[in-house]
Amino acid sequence: MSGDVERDLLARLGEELPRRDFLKIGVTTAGALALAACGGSTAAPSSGPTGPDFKIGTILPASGTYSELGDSIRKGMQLYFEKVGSRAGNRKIVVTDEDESAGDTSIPLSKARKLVEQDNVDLIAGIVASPNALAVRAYVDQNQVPTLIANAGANALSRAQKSAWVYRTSFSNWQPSQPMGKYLIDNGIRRLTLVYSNYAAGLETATAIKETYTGQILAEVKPPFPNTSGDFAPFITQINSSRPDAIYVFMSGQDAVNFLKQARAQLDKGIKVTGSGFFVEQDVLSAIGDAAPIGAITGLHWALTLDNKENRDFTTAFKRRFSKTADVFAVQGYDTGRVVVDALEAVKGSTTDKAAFMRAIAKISFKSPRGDFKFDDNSHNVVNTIYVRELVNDSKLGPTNKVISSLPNVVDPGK
Amino acid sequence: MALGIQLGLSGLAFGGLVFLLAAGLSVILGLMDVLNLAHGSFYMLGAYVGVAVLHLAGNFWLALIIAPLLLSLVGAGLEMVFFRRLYGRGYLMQVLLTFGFSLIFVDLVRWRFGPENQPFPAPAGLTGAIPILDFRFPVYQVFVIAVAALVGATLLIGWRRLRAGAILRAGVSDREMVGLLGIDLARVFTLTFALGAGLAGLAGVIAGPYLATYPGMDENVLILALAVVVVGGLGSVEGALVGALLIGLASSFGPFYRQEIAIALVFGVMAVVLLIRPRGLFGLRA
Repeated sequence: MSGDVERDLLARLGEELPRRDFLKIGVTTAGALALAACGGSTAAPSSGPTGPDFKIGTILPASGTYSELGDSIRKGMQLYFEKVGSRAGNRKIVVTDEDESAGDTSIPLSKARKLVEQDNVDLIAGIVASPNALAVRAYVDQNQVPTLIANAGANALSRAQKSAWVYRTSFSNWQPSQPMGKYLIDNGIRRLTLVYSNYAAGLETATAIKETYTGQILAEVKPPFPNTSGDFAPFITQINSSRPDAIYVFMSGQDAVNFLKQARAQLDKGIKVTGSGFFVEQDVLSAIGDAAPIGAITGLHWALTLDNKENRDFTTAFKRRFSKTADVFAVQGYDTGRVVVDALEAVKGSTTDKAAFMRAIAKISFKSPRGDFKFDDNSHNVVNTIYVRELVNDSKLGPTNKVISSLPNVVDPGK
Repeated sequence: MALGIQLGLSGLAFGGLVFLLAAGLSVILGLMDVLNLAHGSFYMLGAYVGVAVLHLAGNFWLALIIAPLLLSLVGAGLEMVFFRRLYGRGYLMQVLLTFGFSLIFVDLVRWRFGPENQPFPAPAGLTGAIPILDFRFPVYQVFVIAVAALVGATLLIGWRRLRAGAILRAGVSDREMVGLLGIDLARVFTLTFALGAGLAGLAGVIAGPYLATYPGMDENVLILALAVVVVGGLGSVEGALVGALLIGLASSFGPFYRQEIAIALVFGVMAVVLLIRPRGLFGLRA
């Protein structure tokens, strides 16, 4: 067909051009065709993937409040795919990114539709905000799209709204805080004030710590989420006047930055700072500089200085590849990438039986930078070790979370 | 009582910040009839100029001088090359161009600085808290109130007493007439734009140690500044001042006492003012 067109074109050119020029064009065209043929054969080496591309659609914030989390997750995932040459189970892995644009759940939902119905992706990964995850969950559940949640912590995704098609590689909001209640009591914190952003994740954190904290809870200070005026002064006064031994904090992103900046000046010095580790993660620490609450005790499923081979390799490679210090979100992305790759290998690249592919995902286990990675059958959620970290001023790294204790095998109850 | 005073002070500080933005926005809208949705970008760019100066020179006070000057130049440049073409063109064209610029600026910042929160420490001497009654209030917020009050007073005096202020006020009520009197309107417009952008840049540096600095930090403040312009009335410095105080207090008392309706409260203030005075509190024209 295309040969006919070319002949036709050359013939017509021949009518209009002097013979010498015609020959020149003919020769260069033939040369170009020969080159294209060579290029075609080198692009498909015999050792390459034989199956169709395995298409992953990510839904992660590229703009707005959560863009830094999205950036870390995307880069973590990319790092793992690059490590395996973007192939697994004889298939090439191709990623299409969509912006989650946190704020209105209709946007991520339409992005999920677009990825599935227009781009024909084989798997959806990502989603930072819980309301978005719940909205997308309904769609992927109905349409049987394998989905990996790489951040959103809503407990419901492991409980009432759990789906055969959705597994979570990050955490449930319950996980970092439930074991911390007992830890605080064991370490002499008798009078506690809870401080949390007033939305679902904050409330789930508060409920989780109350499950094991047997001391006195003096007050629950609930700044709005997001705190648009950025002003935490009245809330810090509320904390000070409740006179606790310690506060237990859940906040993230800009709210955490603003809160810690203002707490440095205003929070009474005797009050110990503890909490769910997100509010002192790398993204916040790098923004607050010398306002870092040195000595803060927090629980999280990872720490930059966690001492195992995978973590050392991961943090070094991440820094080298992106000139950015890894954070917990990057680890979640990296592990999500690995789950996809290992599952593809396990089914030898055959994903037409989607249920079998999901069963392969459920069985994945490996050594992750955060320690042993495996899913819990019941909750479809990752089993995490919660590391108790103390924020110290490291001579080389600056303010850094150092692991002082680990609380292994924290499994979401699943109901 | 003490809590009320503290919330009031917090509201003053935040209102002061919004005032620095709203004053320029209001006068530009009143005088040139341009709805500048890129005004928030000047605020964000001011903060990032501050970040850069802090990084290079390590001096907050230097940032406080350089950012407004630089942003004035940016504002004047944009007015002369782009916004000038918008006069008398209707709001749709203006919104398209200025909103487009705000998207470009946020992407430029993300490209150059990345999506992360930037460190922006308060200068030595402004990091502590001072005891007032039985609570401790951050010194930095006192500083924000002081700067806003100083700028507000200067603007008010200029607006009421100086020849430049008289020209601007006259321009807001009847632009053609001012032109007929032989005043070079093009130059007045450029200078007004430069002043507005410079004030927004100043607000950006002031916000640095107090709020988070990140791409998109302008969105929320711009919306509040627009609300202030509506409450205060187009093209009025007094209006921007009173409007910013009302909106500032609503944003500080609201989240503390009635979180569920905090945002509605801010815009409720706006709705009530519109019902009673459709031109805004100090508006000369609707």
